[in-house]
Amino acid sequence: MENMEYVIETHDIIQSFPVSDGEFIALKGINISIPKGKLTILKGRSGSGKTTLMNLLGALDMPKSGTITFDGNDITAMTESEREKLRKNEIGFVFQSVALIPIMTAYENVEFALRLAGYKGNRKERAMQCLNLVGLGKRAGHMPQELSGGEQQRVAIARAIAHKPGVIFADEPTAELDSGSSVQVVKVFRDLVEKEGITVVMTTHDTGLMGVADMIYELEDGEIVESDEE
Amino acid sequence: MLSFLTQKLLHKKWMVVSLLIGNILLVAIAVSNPMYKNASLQRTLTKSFGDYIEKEGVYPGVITLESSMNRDQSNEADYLIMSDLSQTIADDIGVESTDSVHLIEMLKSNATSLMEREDNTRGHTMRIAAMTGIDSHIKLLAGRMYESTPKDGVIEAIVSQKAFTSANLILDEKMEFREQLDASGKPIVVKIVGVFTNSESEDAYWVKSPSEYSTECFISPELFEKNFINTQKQVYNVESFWHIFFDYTKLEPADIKSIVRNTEYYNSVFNTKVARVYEPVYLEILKEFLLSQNKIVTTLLILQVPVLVLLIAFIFMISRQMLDLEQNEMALLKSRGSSKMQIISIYALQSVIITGISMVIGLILGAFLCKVLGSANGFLEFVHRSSLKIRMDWQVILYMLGAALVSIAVMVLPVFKDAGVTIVNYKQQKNKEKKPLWRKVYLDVILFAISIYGLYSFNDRKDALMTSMLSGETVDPMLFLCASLFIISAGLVALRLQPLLVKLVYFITKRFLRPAMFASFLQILRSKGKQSFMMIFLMLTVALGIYNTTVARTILSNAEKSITYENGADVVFKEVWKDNSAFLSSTANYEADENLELTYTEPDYTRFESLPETVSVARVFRSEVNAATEAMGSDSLKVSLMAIDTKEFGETINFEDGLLPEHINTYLNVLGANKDSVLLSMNFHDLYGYKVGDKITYSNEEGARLEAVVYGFVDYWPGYNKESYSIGEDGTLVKNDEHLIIANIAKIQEEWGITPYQLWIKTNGSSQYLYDYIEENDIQFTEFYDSAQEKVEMRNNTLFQGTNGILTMSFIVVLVLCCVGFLIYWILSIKNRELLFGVFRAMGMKKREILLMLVNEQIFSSGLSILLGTIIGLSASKLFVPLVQIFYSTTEQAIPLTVVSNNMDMVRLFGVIAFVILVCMVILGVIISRIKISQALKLGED
Repeated sequence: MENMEYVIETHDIIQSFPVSDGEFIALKGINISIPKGKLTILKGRSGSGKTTLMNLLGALDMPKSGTITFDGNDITAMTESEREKLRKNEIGFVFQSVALIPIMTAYENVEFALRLAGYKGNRKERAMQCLNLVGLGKRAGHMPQELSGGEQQRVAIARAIAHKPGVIFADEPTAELDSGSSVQVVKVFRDLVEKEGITVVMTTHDTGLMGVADMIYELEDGEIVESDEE
Repeated sequence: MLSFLTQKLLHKKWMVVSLLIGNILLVAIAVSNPMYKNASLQRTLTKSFGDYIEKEGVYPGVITLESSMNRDQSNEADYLIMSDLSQTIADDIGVESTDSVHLIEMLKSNATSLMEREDNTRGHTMRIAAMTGIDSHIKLLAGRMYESTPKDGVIEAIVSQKAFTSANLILDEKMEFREQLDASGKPIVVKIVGVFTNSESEDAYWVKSPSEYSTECFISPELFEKNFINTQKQVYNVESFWHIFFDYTKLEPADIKSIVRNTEYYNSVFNTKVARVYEPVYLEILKEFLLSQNKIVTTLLILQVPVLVLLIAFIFMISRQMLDLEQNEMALLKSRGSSKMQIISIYALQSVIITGISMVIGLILGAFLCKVLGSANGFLEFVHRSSLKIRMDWQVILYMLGAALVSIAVMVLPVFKDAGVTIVNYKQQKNKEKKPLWRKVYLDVILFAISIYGLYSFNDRKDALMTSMLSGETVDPMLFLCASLFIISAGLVALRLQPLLVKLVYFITKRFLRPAMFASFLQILRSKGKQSFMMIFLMLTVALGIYNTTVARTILSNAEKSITYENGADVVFKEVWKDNSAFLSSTANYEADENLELTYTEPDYTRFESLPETVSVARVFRSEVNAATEAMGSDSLKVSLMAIDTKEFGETINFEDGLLPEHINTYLNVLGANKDSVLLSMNFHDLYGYKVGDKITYSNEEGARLEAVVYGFVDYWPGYNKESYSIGEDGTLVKNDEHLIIANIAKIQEEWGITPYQLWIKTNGSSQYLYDYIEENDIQFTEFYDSAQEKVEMRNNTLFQGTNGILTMSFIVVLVLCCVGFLIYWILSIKNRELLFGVFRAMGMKKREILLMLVNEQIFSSGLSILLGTIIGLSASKLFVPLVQIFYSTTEQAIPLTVVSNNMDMVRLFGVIAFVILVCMVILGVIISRIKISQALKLGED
């Protein structure tokens, strides 16, 4: 792993949730590093803790203990609004469920992300550029419910990358898609890494997708059981 | 299935609670209609009888039959018919007889005393009579009761005190009726053994009071029948009366119609002296009651319709929301093989349970509402009057079941459509929005046009409406429906306009919008389908609230203002003055002697002024005079004269500012400046061309003429109605112009002498002291108007009370619905959008921004609805209240109608709405701040 730069590093993070009979420990001391400009996959069965981990990496949630650094800054020490700022500027999310804003067209979804991030350039141009990047330039005016699942997910990706974040988090982005759409979506991620140099972190349980990853962490019962560098 | 249902209901407990509230209110309002109606009608009925007794001093619950038997006419059969009829007529008419009395009298004839008395030789006109049951309604002042068997051919009798004194009788005196011979041809002899008077002062038994029986010698009824009535061949002339009494408090409003019909029937069939059923006094009371009953029944129903519609809409809204939430489960059930019928039966069971609970609670609440409504307005003087007697009857049950059925239908019918949807269709349909039918066919615009057309046609027929109201006809429901239609359709039209308004704002501000605002505008614009129901609901709430309070306030305030205006002062009365008429009539050649004329002794009016509670007193002389109108070459004109002392008058009157272009004191000062001046009503100017500075001559009944200079004209004046209405012979409403001359009392008294005038008194608030003073000093009066008392009576009028009661009730219901509906809608809508908020948050939106977004949404949906609702409510009030008012004006409107809205009501309405929105925003704020982004996002994972 020579010359490898890491954008996010975790140190002994523990996460737990209250359940009816006490605490459920979801993550039991995770130490991982996300390489910059690469595609990292968090792999594991459902319930293994990969989504929990990703929520922490993406500053959506706070761990019970341990630290997470993002570009060298400790997220766990940040205030809520600092984290909001971080999310707004540095991070893009793609969710398992297609989390497009239902009242906005594909174009507006992307453009809205630009507005939110306070994008300084020409929003229209950038939005179309992103939609073209995911191959949906022609469907920019459609409402989410008029698009197929794969298309929606691609719009979500376009939205996630619109404001040029350094890191994209994708939580099971292909879980609800057929294999054809899955391949297309993953290909978009791969392209982003290759062409735009964006860091992509993706969770999946689909072993067929592992080939595209630069780095794979496998989780089981809240622990890293395997890490592979391709 | 039951456990599934229980779980489902528990899971959505807040919606179930809202549904229950809606249903309970629906049932309560529905049952309160017949409950309140019947109870208040019952009270009105009893009260109108009570008022009659108070006014006339006669018990009106009597049916009177008469039959005269004449020895020449052989009409014994008629007597028998009437005698039989007297037994059955109460049942036939439909009243419950409590008592009856049979009065039989022989013809009056001369009775001579058999006692050797110097002072009593001439004899007296007397007659033999008998009255059944007399023994238990009299007390003997002297002597003893008669025996029912004659002793030595002498019949014993008792007489009233009046007869005893006027015939100058002595106890045990025997009177011989020489013209009335008994079977053996000897004159009948009656011995006066007792003198009686009525045992109780208020006794219905005495249709005529004992003092009116000044010639009757009452003997035993059995004896009378035996000796003087022969139904085979009558030999005496006998007049026979049957009075059948019934308890008017037992009358049922529902029976009145048939009682009137039956009474009229008997009255028309038996109308000869030999067989007559008198037209009873209760007939008029009942007929009047029927008129007001019609009015009350229609009015109450019509007033309740909007709130019932609103309640049904509310139930629909909530159950629709609930259904929307359950679509997923329903589709799932369907996919797993549940039949459509099974799903429907789950919902049917659910609605039956909800309405079942609601019926029980609603019935109790309804009864409670009625009690509160009925007694809350029981003003001081009237607390002892019977309070509302609320009863269950079939009508109540019918209304309750009706309400329950409608509610079940509203809750279950939408399921039929949804129950056929499988999970696949559901997912497909999920985000499709359909235009409601009414939008497609422009039903709202059409209805709105109809209501406007209705408004104009009613305005055109205003006079005709007034005619029909003055002739006692019932309310035209169309007018009220028009008003409701106007509010509802205007609301729907406004709903059509709302997106346009939002769009306008959006396009203007688009470039400068912050992301959160941008998103919220899109939210409003693109999810209108779901919001529209809440919006129309809020609009109707506000509009109805405003309209209802305006109607209630206007009706009351105008009625009160009318009383104030028409009376002119707090108390107006006219004392009976002592005069020399007795002296004049005893002077034989009064006609010939011109020096003798009618003169009055003026009582000292300042004694009222000196009472501490009196603020001021004014003498007001009012009379009819003839005004010469040579100016237009016609005959003289009958006009009213009001002569006043301007200073006293100005201090005493109650007169609303703004009726005259200048303050009334300006007119009084002008009038007071010259005692020869007069003010004229404006129609002198308009119709006869009088101008300021003209001279006018007028004369009193005796022909004494006066000339005066016109100093001014007035359209309104305390106690003056410029127009009066009467029903012409052809049934149309005839408008009569009323003319008024206002002069100085000093001048009139100087010229025409001092004659009885009215006293107008301003009190310090209560007029009770006057009653006390009048009673103490035994002051007689011919006229007495007490504005405060009249206002109390007006408020106690069933129609007013019912109207106010129902409008108040509606107002409260509307507020409750508004609160519940609004909260539920928004909480659900937020819950539905948790995922969306999660996305926004993940994209870096701040909590504050999301809240801002919601506030913006509130402004343009709720805020706009409230604004539009206010506009609609105010316009509905402006347009319809003047028409609705007609139904409540018992007489012509003397002063211009002002549509009154009470600011406190508005403050209350908007205060509650603002409070609800605030609470709602706080709850939303809490929900939003509790949203965990990671969990919110998971929601979408299914």
